[in-house]
Amino acid sequence: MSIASAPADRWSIVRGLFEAVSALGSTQRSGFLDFACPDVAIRTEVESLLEGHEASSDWDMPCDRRVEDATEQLPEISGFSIERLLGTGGAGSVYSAQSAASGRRVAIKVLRTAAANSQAVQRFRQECRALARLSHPGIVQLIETGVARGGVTYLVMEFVEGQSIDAWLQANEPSVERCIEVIRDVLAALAHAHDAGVIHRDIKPHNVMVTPEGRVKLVDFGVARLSSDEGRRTGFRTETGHLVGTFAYMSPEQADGRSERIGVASDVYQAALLLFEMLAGRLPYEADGRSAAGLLRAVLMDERMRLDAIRPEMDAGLSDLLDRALSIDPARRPQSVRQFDAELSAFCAVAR
Amino acid sequence: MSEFVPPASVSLSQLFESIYGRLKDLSTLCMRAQPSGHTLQPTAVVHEAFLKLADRDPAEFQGQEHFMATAATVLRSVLVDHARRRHTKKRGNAKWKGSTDEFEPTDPTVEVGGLLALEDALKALAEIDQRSARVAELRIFGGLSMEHVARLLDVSLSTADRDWRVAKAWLEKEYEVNVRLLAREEAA
Repeated sequence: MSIASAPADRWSIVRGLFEAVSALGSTQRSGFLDFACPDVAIRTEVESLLEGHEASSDWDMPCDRRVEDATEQLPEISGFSIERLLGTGGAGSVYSAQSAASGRRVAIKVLRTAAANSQAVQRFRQECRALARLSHPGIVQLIETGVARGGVTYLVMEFVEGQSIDAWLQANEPSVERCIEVIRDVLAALAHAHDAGVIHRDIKPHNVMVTPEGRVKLVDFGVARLSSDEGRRTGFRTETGHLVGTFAYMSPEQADGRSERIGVASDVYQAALLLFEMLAGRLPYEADGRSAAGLLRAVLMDERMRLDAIRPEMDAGLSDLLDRALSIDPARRPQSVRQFDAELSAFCAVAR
Repeated sequence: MSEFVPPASVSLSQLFESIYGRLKDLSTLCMRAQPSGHTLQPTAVVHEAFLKLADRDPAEFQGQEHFMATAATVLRSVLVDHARRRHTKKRGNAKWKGSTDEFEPTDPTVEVGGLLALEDALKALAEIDQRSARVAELRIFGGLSMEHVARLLDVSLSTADRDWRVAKAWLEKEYEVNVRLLAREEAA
């Protein structure tokens, strides 16, 4: 009997036998191997693979909880007729829908079943919990949450008419005062969230909507965090210590993973960054070739430009304020969104 | 307003989430090593894997699937580098001082011993059955579904399934042996 000696040839025999035998019931296996595999060494290898096969469920466990397919059918949620897909994020998809009872237009965020790993579920719940605490004209309103047929978790929210702030900016070319006013609306909404113990952590153009009436709405609390005191009190810990949020808008403490430093001052930073970008037309960081790595380094090294260095016509006091609000050290920033708002009001001609 | 352009069509937050999710799964997989308390610091690993990916030329990637495949390889090499360093350090010093206290307990941590055992098992498999080893890498370090794996490797779904079944059986048998070998090496 000649048994192939090259490892690859030998393996193909072992593998072939393993595949054939693993398809059989355990009682037939040894008879089959007696017949098909007279070589003891190969038989031992096949049997050890079989043993592994019997026990190998562990390796499958994580992967099968995630699939990246975005090609999903419209979900069915009783009481609502789903109209169309508005967008897809990491954890779920958002659909526009109409309530059968009231005829009201709503947005429904559905946790993709395929993405329903524990992290996505946790985030989804986090968003539900955060939104459930909040009721403010500047924050998208949660209407209800539920589980549909087939175990699909969803949350129903107010449908926000309008455009994201970057689209709004391009369409309207607002004055400096108007930009400040808009950010002060953002700060008012954040003040309400902070009072309720919710830190947004992901203020960026995409998550700030402007309605046709010119009012601001914060959307997407998917990475919001309940402030640590609240978290401790309710025994609810948010997922922290890792990089969440959109890269370009991460505060330094988010970018370096120092989760214990993330707090209301992180939202101050992001609101300031948004205002900076609105006024300067660009971010304050000098990122080589606009690479993500370059940007991360610039944020972590605090390589920032002042507003009046990019736009000399800007008020030096406003530049100072933004420079402080964007400080790498959270302790140097205005210590609350209300304080930031009060300091900003000096540069806003319109009385509030 | 300037729009930040991430590599390929993959959003950066998606990438972070993905790398982080992989670490969580690996944390479960590699737990079966004797818990030595020597674990990898997740933030450092995520940063390094991210920087390596971000520095690559977007033209390299033909869509998300391809990107995830590259991410799998990068994550594996970064993790193994860290683990090897940690492993050597541990053998050199009587007591290695970790910096795990900087992180919250919810962070996934990956057992060094378990990870190295997995790496050795994968390398050995690649020597005799490269495709099966690649399927395992894409599954374990990339989190790709079988459909994605089959498309990437340009094989039928049933072929990919068979490869994965063999790879799992192999890993299962090798892993346990390797964990013991590593523990012995450490004790020596």
